[in-house]
Parts: sequence; structure tokens; C-alpha cells
Amino acid sequence: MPYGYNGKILHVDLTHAKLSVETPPESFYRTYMGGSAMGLYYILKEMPKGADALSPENVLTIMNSVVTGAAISGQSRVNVSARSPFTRGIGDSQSGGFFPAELKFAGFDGIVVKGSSPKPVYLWINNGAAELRDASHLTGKLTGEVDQVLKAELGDQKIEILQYGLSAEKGVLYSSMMSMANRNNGRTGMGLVAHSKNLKAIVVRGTNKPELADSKALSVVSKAGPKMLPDNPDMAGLAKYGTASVVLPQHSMGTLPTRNYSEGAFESAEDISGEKLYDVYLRGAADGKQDSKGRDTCYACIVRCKRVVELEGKYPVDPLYGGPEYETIGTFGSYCGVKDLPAVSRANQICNAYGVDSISCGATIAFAMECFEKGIITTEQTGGLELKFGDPDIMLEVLDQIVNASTPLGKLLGQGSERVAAVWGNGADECLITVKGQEAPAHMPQAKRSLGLIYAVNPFGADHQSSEHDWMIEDGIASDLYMSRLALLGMPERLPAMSLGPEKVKFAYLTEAFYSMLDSLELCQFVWGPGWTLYGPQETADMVNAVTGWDVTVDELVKVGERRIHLMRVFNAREGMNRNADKLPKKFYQALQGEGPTAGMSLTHEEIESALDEYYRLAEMTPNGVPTKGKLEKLDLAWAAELI
Amino acid sequence: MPIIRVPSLFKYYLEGQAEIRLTGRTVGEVLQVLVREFPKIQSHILDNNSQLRRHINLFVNSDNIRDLKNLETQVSEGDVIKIVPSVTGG
Repeated sequence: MPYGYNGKILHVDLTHAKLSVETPPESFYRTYMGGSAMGLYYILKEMPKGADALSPENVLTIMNSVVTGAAISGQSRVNVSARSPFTRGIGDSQSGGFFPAELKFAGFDGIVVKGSSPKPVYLWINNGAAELRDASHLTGKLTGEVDQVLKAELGDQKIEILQYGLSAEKGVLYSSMMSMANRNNGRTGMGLVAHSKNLKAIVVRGTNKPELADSKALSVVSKAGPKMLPDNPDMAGLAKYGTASVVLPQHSMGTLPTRNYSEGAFESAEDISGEKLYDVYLRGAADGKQDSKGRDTCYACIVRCKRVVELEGKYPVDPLYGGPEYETIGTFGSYCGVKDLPAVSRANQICNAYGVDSISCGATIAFAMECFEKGIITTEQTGGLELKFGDPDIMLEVLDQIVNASTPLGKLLGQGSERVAAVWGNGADECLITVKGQEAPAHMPQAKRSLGLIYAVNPFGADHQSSEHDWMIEDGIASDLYMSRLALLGMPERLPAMSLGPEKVKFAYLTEAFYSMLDSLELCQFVWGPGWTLYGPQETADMVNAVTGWDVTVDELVKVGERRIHLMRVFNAREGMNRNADKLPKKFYQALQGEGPTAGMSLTHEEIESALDEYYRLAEMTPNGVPTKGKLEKLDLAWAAELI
Repeated sequence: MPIIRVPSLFKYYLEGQAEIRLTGRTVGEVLQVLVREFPKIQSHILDNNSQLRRHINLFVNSDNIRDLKNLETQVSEGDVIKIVPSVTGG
């Protein structure tokens, strides 16, 4: 009997309505650990080359990991992967909450879904017993409504549900998977893939926690966390103000994307800050009780960084749909020039209620605003709307049209800005901030140079949670704690903030591998990481060993991360995506406008091309960014080499 | 005199300088001199009540002033006061 995990993967053939259970050996789990890496194994093995993302041939995987459900902060996360209809390459999404742990307790470490059902169904897993049930009655409902119906239907308020939302039914290309009506597996359109399979939801209930190898050792690692919290000012800020705590630092550093990434400082940053959210808009703020009423958490996590907003008035917000994270505040706030935090919170609710990626959605609206402001489009294309920056009502009106696909404008914007630009023409492509078709998140590579590289090479498009950011290793600034942790990855020296030379590329690659491992172990990157987080690399290895009884090292964990990166690039290479897809938008090479530390800054083609050369060399890929047989063999992935 | 050190991007507020020597016997006194000589930085490190902004960490050498005596922490020749915005993710 394994420790920490079930040793069971559920296979679902929706076309034939057949379920089966696989029991992979321990070596399989130790090689992939779970999450994204494990999902990729099945996707590459079972999805034929060239399969359309919305065809029955696409393979959708839902994976937790060997440590999910252990009694320690930041371990309850789930990966959903498949071929992305949005980026056309591999799709990858992560979220937290309680669903991941419940899936583990329900008896499975992951689910592999193939085919498609002739009618909507949901997968019901109850303490090891799995069946498909009719879900026709769940269509046309908001995520919160679906949760209510299923809990009543199954007579259990403690079930956890992962579902696609109404916007997937409307064909929005960046539709997501949602749990708890406020945890969003946001990126790359996994909700639309699930909809194409008619798999409306995965519903789980479990009471069987896997045995741990060494509970005492886990307790030692776990207890170190609360002790460190008061002394780690960055973590204390995250706990109290959520990810929104980074709005003001980003603004001060000139890396808060403003008016569709045209500027790096937002004059109204205070109005959309984490402090403002905490002081005024969190549930309970009026009575000074926001710490108890306005903060939420994931299974077993002490950090409590999630926001709960409850508002009445012009922009009502139901606390069921949570509160905005930093990215949502960025894309619906500063990207759109909107300074109204209630309106941004309302936008967050709509994204969660309908199941769309708030990053791509808000960024696409901001893109449309810039096109309108520049005269690239007129009211003819917008159905009469004046899409100006700074107007919260226009922002919400357009959002409503997108999630409901209720107008020609809404339907078009629901395809993402890159496809919109192709339709509008007239220079609209100059306003894009997409990589591999997906809109960039709210961390600007003009200021965080290594992100320029990571945004380009990340196999599923620009992603800010795929590596550490430059100021973590900044010369003269980086703390001894951060440096001691980065040294474990092979980065003992501080580096100039704005460099993108070989040493910075090495920093990018090594931290990318570590973050990639976190997305396979399904660990929260706000609790586990190589720098500012509660637990560092050694604690990560210690925790894995305490749960599983293994003797992993930090190096072994980094190798798991490299496996995931290389498997993703194998997938993309098989579909014809290599260096040709590792391209940044033109806008990143144009001088930023406005004021602040980054005004006038831009990336250069020379530095990015040079960084790409160095990255591929370091990763032992070809100069065209394709994984090599030699490296794949080193990573115990010889089977994947056969695919390209 | 103690030294104020800022991240690279904050040089914008200090006329291109990443390090400056300023007078003051405590961290608070040094900050007052800083914002007087470089007013552009004031709103980024102090709030409307002249209190240290919640997202700004100050270190004297390696120690967070919250572990010492906050703005009353004494500083002397050669001490480095680092201004570090909180760097969580999201």
C-alpha cells in the first residue's frame, strides 16, 4: 500500500460510457509525482498527433499528486490539462480549494478522460465508486447554481465539484474549469475542452485519507510554517492582503500593466490596491472583522490568502464568488484604466459565475478599448459602444456580452484578442499582448527581464507563475533567506536586476524547473517555492519524503520539473510548434509610455534571441527549441523521444 | 552617515542613484531627509499620515526594522538601510 497517494488512476471513456481503474507502479508515481507531469504522460501516450482540441480524440486529464491532502499548508491543488483550443498547443491550468484533497480522499490520484458523451453527463465519485450520471438538467446554469443543484441532488453539502460554466456552453475560447464557484482553473480554455466532451462536472466525496509514511516528520515541517510567518514580511502581507498586496509594489516599480500594457504605472493604483480591498471592501470590513469574515483558505492551509467580498449597490457582489486576485485586479482594473474596485469585484464574480479566465477576458476587453481609442475600430464594430479606457460600466457591459455571447462583439471577443485582431485588421495586431495566442498576465517583462524569456518559451503561452521573478535575485537587494534557497538550485550569486545575460537565463531556467515541479506536485506557489515563500526547496523535499516515505532530494524534484517542461515541448513540437512559436508580441519591443520607472523601456530583439539561444542550450534542446533524444533519455523519457 | 539602498527600478525616484548617504540617527530621521531631498519617492514609501506603507519593508543591514525598533531603530556610519517593496506573487 503506498503512502500519501492511492495508487489509482480512473480512466473514463465517455464515448462508450466505460470506466476503468489503473494501478500504476510506485516507480511511475516517483517519476511524475502527479499534476501536470502525470497528465502529460497520458496525453502524449493516448492523444494522436494532430487531434483537434475540441474533438473526442483530445485527452483531458485531471490530476492531484502524491502529497495532495496531507495535513500541511498549500498542498490542495489540481491540474487540468489537454490540448488547448486557445493556444493550439498543450493546455495547462491549476487551481486550489478543497476539490483536490477531496478527489484524493475519494480514492483517486487522477482522472484521464477520452472520447465524448452523446449528452451532458457528470462523473460522480463517492469513496472509490465511480459512475456517469445525466447532467442535462445542469446546462444553462451559473456555477453557483450548479453546485446547489448537485448538493441537493446527492444529499450531501460536503461534495466538491469541478465544472465548466455557462460560457463554455456559449463557445468562449478561454472558458475555464471552476470549483467552489470561486476557484478557477483559468488558463488555456480547459472548460471548453470539457464541454466538447459533454463532461459537465466531476463530483467527488471521500473520507479515506491515505496513510502517511511519517506523520511526525510532516508535523515538524508543518509547524515550522506558522513559526516563520510573523518573520516573513512578504508572507504576512500575502496572508492579510491577498495576492492583491502586490498592486502597489508593482505600480511603484513601474510594472503594473496599464491601459493594455501601454504603461507600467497606474495613477489610480491606490484605489485598486490590496490595502483598499482589505480596508473597505472585504466582507466584514465595515465592522473591522474582515480577518475573520473576509478571508478564505484552501484545505489545511493556514495562510488564508483568498478574498471574500460582499457588496450591495451599483456593483453587487455575492460572497459565494469570492473576491479578486491580483491578476483580475490587473486585467479588469489597470489594463482597462478602471479604478473602481467594486466594479472589478463584480467582474470577478461574473468570470467565476460563468467560468472564464479572468486574465484573457479582461485583457481582451482592454485590447478592444485600445483599438477603439486609436480609431482602429469604431462604433460600427462595437455595436454602438464607446469602448474607452477608464469606464467601469462599459467594461462590465462588454464582459456581459462576452460571457453570454449575446452580441456579435461579445462572440468575437470571446475568441481572444489574437483572433479578434485577425478579423479587425487595420493594425489591430499592434495592440496585441499575446504569446501563443494567450494574453499576457500582469507582470511586465520590460521590468522583469527574465519574464521576457519565460513568456516566450513557456509551452502554454505567457505565464507569470512558471518561474521566479527577477527582483528575487537582485544584486544588493535580495535577502539572505532568498539567496540561501536559490543556492540549493545552483544560483548562489545575486544578479543585476535588468540583465538578461547567461546567468539570468540560468536563473530563469532553474526556477522554471522548480515551479514546473510545483505544478506537478500540485503545491501552491504562494506557500512553496525557491524564494519568498513559507517553505523553500529543502522543506519541499522533506515534506515529500515525510508523506511518501521516499528519499527524494532537491535535485530529484528539479528533475521532475524538467520532465514536465520537456514533455510539454515534445507535445508542441509534435504539433509543429517550436522556436517559431516562442515569439513575444510587437508591443513588448516598443517603448512604454506614461510616467514611472519603466517609461521609455522596452525589450530588444537582440537580447530575447540571445536569451532563447542560451535557454535552448541550457535545456539541451536543439537551437530550434525541440527537446533532444539525449536529454529526454537523461530525464527517463526515452519513450517521448519516439514522438518527435 | 548611513546609506539608503533601493532596488534598481526605484532609482527613478532618486535621480538615477541606487545608493545615497544621508544624515540621521534613526531610520525615521533618515527617511525624513530622504523624502525631503527626493520628494518623488515619498508617496511610494510613506502613506498620507507619513507612516511607512504596509507593503514596504525596511532592513538595516540584514535585519527587518519590524524586528528591531521600527522607525526608531538607531543607525550609524556605514549601516545600510534597504528599501524593499514586498515581493509576493500573484
